Amino acid sequence: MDRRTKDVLSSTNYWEIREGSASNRVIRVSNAKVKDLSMSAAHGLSVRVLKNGSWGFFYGEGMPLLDIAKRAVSLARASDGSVGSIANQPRRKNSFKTKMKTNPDDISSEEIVKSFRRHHVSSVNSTSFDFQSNERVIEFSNCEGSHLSQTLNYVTAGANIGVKSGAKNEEFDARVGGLGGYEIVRNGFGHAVNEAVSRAKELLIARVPKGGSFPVVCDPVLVDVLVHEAFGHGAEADLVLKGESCLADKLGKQLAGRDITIVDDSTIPGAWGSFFFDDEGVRAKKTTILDKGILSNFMHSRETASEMDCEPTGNARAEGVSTVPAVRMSNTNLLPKKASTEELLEGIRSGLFLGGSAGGQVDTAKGNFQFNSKFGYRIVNGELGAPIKGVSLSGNTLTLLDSIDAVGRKKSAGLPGFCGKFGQMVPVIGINPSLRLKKAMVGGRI
Amino acid sequence: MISGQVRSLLKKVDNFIIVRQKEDLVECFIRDNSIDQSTGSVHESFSVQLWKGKRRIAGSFSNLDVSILRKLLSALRSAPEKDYFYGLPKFSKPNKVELFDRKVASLTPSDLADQACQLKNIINRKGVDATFGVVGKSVEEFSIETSAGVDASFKGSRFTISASGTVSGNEGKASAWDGLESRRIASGNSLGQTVRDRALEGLRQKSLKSIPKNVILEPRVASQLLSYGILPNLNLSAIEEKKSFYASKVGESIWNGIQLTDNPTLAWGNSSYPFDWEGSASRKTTLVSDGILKGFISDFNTSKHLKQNHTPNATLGGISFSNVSLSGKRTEEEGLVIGDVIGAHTAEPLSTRFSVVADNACIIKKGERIPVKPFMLSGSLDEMLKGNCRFTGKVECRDGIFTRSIVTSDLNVIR
Repeated sequence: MDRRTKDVLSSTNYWEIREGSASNRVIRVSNAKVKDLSMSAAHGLSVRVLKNGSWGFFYGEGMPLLDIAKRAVSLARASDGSVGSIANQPRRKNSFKTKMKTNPDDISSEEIVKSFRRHHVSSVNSTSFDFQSNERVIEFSNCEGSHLSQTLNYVTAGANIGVKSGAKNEEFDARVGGLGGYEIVRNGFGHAVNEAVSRAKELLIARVPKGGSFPVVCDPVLVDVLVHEAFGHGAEADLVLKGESCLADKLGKQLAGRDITIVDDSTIPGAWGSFFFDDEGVRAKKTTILDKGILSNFMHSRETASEMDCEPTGNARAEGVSTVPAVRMSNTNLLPKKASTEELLEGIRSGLFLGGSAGGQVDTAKGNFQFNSKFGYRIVNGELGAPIKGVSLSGNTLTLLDSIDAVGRKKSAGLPGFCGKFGQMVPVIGINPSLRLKKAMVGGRI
Repeated sequence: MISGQVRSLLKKVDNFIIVRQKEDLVECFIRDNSIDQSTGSVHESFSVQLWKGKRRIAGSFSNLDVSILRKLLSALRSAPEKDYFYGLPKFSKPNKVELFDRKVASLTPSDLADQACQLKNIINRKGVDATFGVVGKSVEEFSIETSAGVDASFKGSRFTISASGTVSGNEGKASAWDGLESRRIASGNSLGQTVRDRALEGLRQKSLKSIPKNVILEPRVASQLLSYGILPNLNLSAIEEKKSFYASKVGESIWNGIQLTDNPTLAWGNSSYPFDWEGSASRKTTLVSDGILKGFISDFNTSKHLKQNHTPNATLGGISFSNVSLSGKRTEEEGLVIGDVIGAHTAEPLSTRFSVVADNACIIKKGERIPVKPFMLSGSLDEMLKGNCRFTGKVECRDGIFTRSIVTSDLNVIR
């Protein structure tokens, strides 16, 4: 950094610089034909400053650091200074890289297209496959003397299987992904596609059940959305401080049974939501949010940690260096317990088993949520019955937590996806067991 | 836009499209009743598409120099062949569409902070906290050059306001959110009042005891559900990928008396443009007329391949809508009004089914608003549009769709 930039930044209470390079490769194959082959690369610099209680942030591509710093400082002057302070962090210097067995750049586009063509199934109406590899290099430095560097390599492959019978159309999605190399696709994609084909075909004979209130067993993919949407967002400290979380006054209170422990863990090697340090330079951590049913922690940035007088949890994430960090989840997991699938179904005379995910959403202030399952079965006298579809689950966070009465023993990863907040998308996932809800509101037909 | 060295390398390909986009953005954020953050950014990107025979490579870069073009050319050599390529559309004179407002461009961060301050003061009354909000402006530049002789550019402005308000009562919290986007400066007064009034209304919600015959989807709700559950079916890409609910139905009556158009030429339209990403001059397309499906939005190559009409809706490697307008039989009716839904993005285009939580809903009876607690709303969007679907209230533009509130009796209300 040159002297003039130092002078500009020295007028602030805190500054941080993030420099990012991102490169991306995408291959899409639709019905065994090449649809798209593309690549992208971007490089930019951002400066965030805290000056007299106000944040100023500026990002530029190809602009000198001095100009970016000047604009960040000038933007801080436009605000009215309500930020108190940020939690202390030790000075850290380190460099991290994603471990991978097979660099995806060593796999030719032709080879990937060929492998997708092998997965094409002629017995279905349509198949679409996509592959994406993304490398993000982030350099972080701040006025406290920290200098950090991380290289995150994301690899993902997805399938969309469409089936048709008369006027009926159905589709099912599958996706694998994580931090690592091409081995993520090679090891898991074939199985995921096969399952998507059989699920899509089953949807053609499935019926939309009557809506209402039922005992429900959710599979690990749906539990992923449930934990993330219905609970996780409410435990983000920025929303808590804004009065936009139904968990705001519940710290230390028993909200669920003793079998329920939920953690946010960005340290899981190779998991889609992992990283080495967050976008404020705080080391990745495992944070227990709900400990044996008691709300024990919120997820924090340095600012929210200071406001609530606790430690930052390494959850300040940004979509890229061009955006401002906010409190976000990473890999958010319900820890497994003892119940087998049979035990989860046992005792339900009439209920629903819901699986897969078609997304979800929550109003954190009220705690109202909605998420869609992708497939399911009726439960009749403790056994799985006829297939069902078109079902969504809704309710309130606090009621839902209280309604969980059994947690499965076998855990598996949900779909690698992106969580949206304040217009930014970050990679998130959950590794969860199945669970049983005593009663849940299910939307279907009347 | 293109340097001499890059231009000479472009001679190695049969066809190219190069698009430069630049956005200069400033935003001021309201948080917890104060303006605590202002941010800005300048993004510049070059989107490149190259063809050699039927081989195609696309890329997006923050700068365009010789090394990047060489990398693209190398990838192009080993790229698998696409199924077809019919060339690029020839140059046609672009339309003049008004998109740039100097007043927006000249707004300073302090002006935006003042607007944000006014907005929070409107919301922050009667116990309502302005918990989050953004006032922002941007200036966008777009230029295109193609091997078919297109060389054009335009400039646009954008002004955005959004805010949420939260209020606490004896039975818990209530909140509301609203946002607007415009090419010109817009007042946040009405938006602030709506957020405040809807948040307060949330404290008076009663359980839904009897279900009125009519469900009325406000424009925001109708637009969200249609943009996820219906519009993807009217894109020629979906036909090509065998993923459209309306495949092989051109010329058939699919809905009851409904008109649906796509119009990128609309003056000051949020999604307007004088030409698309292939350089084709923009024009209005009627997709559904009096309930009869007339066609799909498309780009040059997909339309040639599938022998359908070409519409100027190309984007980088895809096809997308501009300003959509939905209209039909007018009515003045009351019923169960849905102001917001949770989970609209889960609507499935291939079946047009959806199942969401209806929020900020109220029963309107003899002009009086009776707020009701959240409930589930499900059904088929296709069945809704096929049925006796009517339109009431003012036209609003939400999520790129211009529509009035939709009145229907074909959805399931689940308590």
